[in-house]
Amino acid sequence: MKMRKTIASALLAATVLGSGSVQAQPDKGTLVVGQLQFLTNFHPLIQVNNTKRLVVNYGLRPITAYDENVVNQCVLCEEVPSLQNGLAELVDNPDGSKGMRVRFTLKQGLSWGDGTPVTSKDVVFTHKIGSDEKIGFSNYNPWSRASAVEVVDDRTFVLVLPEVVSSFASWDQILPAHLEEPIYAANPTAESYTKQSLYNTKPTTPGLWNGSFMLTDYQIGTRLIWEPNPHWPGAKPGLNRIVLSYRDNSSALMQNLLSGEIDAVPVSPGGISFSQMLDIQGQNPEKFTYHIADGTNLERIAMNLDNPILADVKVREALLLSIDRNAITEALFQGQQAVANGLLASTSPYYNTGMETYSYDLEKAKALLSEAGWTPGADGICVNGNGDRLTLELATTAGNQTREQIAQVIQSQLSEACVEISTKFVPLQEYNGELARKRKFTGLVMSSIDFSPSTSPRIALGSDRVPSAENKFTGNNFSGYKSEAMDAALERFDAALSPEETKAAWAEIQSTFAQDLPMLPLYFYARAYVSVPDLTDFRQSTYDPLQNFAEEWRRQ
Amino acid sequence: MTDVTVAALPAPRSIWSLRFEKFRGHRLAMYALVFLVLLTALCLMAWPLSQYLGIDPNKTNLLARFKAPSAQHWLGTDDLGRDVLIRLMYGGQVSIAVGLLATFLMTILGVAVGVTSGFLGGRTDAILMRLTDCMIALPLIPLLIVLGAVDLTKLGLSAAAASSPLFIFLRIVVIIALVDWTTMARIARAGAIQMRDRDYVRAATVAGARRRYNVLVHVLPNISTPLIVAATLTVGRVILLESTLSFLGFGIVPPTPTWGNMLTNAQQLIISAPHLAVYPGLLIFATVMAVNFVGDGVRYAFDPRAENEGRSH
Repeated sequence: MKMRKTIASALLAATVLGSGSVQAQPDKGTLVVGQLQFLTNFHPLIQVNNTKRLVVNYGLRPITAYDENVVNQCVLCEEVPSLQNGLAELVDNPDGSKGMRVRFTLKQGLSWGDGTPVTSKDVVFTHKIGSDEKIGFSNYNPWSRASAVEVVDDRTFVLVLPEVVSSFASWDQILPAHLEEPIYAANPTAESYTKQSLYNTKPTTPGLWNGSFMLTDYQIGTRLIWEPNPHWPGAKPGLNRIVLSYRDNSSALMQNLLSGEIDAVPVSPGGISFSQMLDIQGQNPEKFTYHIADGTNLERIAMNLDNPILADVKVREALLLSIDRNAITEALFQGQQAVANGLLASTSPYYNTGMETYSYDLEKAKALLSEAGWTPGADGICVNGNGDRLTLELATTAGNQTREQIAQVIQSQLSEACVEISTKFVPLQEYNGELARKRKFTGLVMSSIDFSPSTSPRIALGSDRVPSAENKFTGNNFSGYKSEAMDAALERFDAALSPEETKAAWAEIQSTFAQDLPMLPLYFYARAYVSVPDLTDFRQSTYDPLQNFAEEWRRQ
Repeated sequence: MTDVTVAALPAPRSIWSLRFEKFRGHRLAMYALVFLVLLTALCLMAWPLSQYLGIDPNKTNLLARFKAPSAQHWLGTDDLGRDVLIRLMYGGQVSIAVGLLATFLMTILGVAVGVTSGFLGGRTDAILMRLTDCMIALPLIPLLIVLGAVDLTKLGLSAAAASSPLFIFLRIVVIIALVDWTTMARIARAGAIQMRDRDYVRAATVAGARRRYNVLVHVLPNISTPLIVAATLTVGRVILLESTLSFLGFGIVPPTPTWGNMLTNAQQLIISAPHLAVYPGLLIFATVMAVNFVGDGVRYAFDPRAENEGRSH
């Protein structure tokens, strides 16, 4: 009898404990975000890419950022400078050319995580190191646009711009002078500074972070933990902890999301693919919230215009006409990622409705190839008068299954137009290092480029942005495109100070692009995130990283 | 006188015929061998079957994605509208060919190193075995990545040749052989050390036989048993290794199918189309198991001490 009671008590206890664990409520103060691609270094302004911006901006905020309404907002400053409010002004340079002076005031009470105030000194230091060619920052809004910083007081400074630039009000993160300046002084080269910077040697130093969160713990390749910065002067963060939990591949991320091990996951870059999101959405429409918004990140094919085949614009037109981009986006993305007709999505206020567009037209493509001297040979592949075959290599990044799928579809579709494509999938590092960056590709390369509101299209179209030893391979004009008309339009764009001027310059750039086709535009990535449904105040549609507003996030 | 009747002696039988008979007695190995032969034959039917059905295995059709099995597509279509069965058959050709060819190459390499090391001994043995230790100590995946990333155009090969499917296939075979020969070398060395001290080898040496003669006539035939067994067991591992390379982006380049890259691609579709992962996964599993059973049978057939082992299977 006693034995039976003991067993019954044990069973009851087990049941109570078991049910307790099953019914345990999720920790509403914590958000676990699944991620891919652990950062190779934490420095916010060195080797910057989209993946890094989506991580670093939790703790280090830019001075300004574009919100979901394409409006440039102050993140660290009091008011965005403009010609209208007088904080920006045109000035005459000593040589007679026009320059600018742009005045900023930092927000009251802004502090680094160790309590040291964020001051104009930090801006002066950031400008100094950001203009140092030996260091080579690669942030999207370069500090080298300013020739000097004039300190008015601890919170107010004036950026002196030797040229008129339309992006005068867009500035990225600043660095803590009290921590990084001595390291920079002792390590004046890019390699040694990158290695010795506190961001890489001790990234959990509170004084490195000035955002609403700061990095408090990390394990390389596994996780990053962000917790509220006690000195953040803005709204108190709604979450106590944001854990970035890393996985090796997107399939693991997807399974962990479904099993509840992670609460949210970005959709490419740094997360699951758009197709995977659609799969989850199809089977679990209610289980998660799917934050989807139009994007500015353009998936495109750059072409090596030094290749005589691709130097002929008729061939380039034929290639674009032979790719059924509508079918691709419909089949692979259920039409939720927009077909690209050019550099800007049709939802952009600067989209040029009058430019030439290229819908799928196989017969026209064949006719153009014929005009260019390419006619089908015995095996169906085109040959020219010299007997050369119309063969091109299409390279893209290995491991990105969406790109690999699209490459195979393009290969198949171009074969219909008598173009032979050989595919090549290379690791990301090789792609960024040698193949695209040093223009080692012979035919086509497929990757993305982001034309966010503050980014000048010069980065991909300017003749001075063709990567070369002279510019230390920093340009993104992988095609090697050089056009006087485009350069002139880019000059006008960079100097445009009003929306009307910007729109006119964009129209010209898009028309010239459509005529010359230095790249083949494919589609625009939608900005997307999948999260548990109780995550609210999540501004997915901001044009700069949504982490800039992470203090607003809450779990109900 | 009394007539003495002498019983007829059985006809002399070669060692190979005895071994084959013993192998046939190992039921699992026989089933596995039949399975492998049938599978290979099926894979070789890919071209005629695709012609008969009018299917191009690499041609995508975005309007026919994830189609259910039908009279034209017996196993349905994949995420790009391509016939799954035909791609599995073509993929099998590549995967099995990689398995066999890479095993053959690594056996040659491993035996050359192992026999040289074991038969010569001394400093040569020490150097070659330390080299083998170094290879074993190197982490496999990073090594595969480095070898896969070598730009052959910098070694003088034309870009067209370097990117041709045949060359990519051979490159995979060579990479796998280069990283996986060490087991063979160890086995060959152990056998060669045993053989070099045998009386008949010493006698041959005293009679003037050269090293090469001794290796070819006395050593290699006598160590062939463990080598053959090890080689059969290696084939399965190589097929898996090719899958790993495909997963890392260094394998056979799509659209050319292999079971490895089909499995890798299907990972992303595990929710919407799990069967696309099941087919190549099952074939890899079955092939690896079958090859292992055959290896087991060969070991049984070659081992004079193993009796009735196969009957119990």
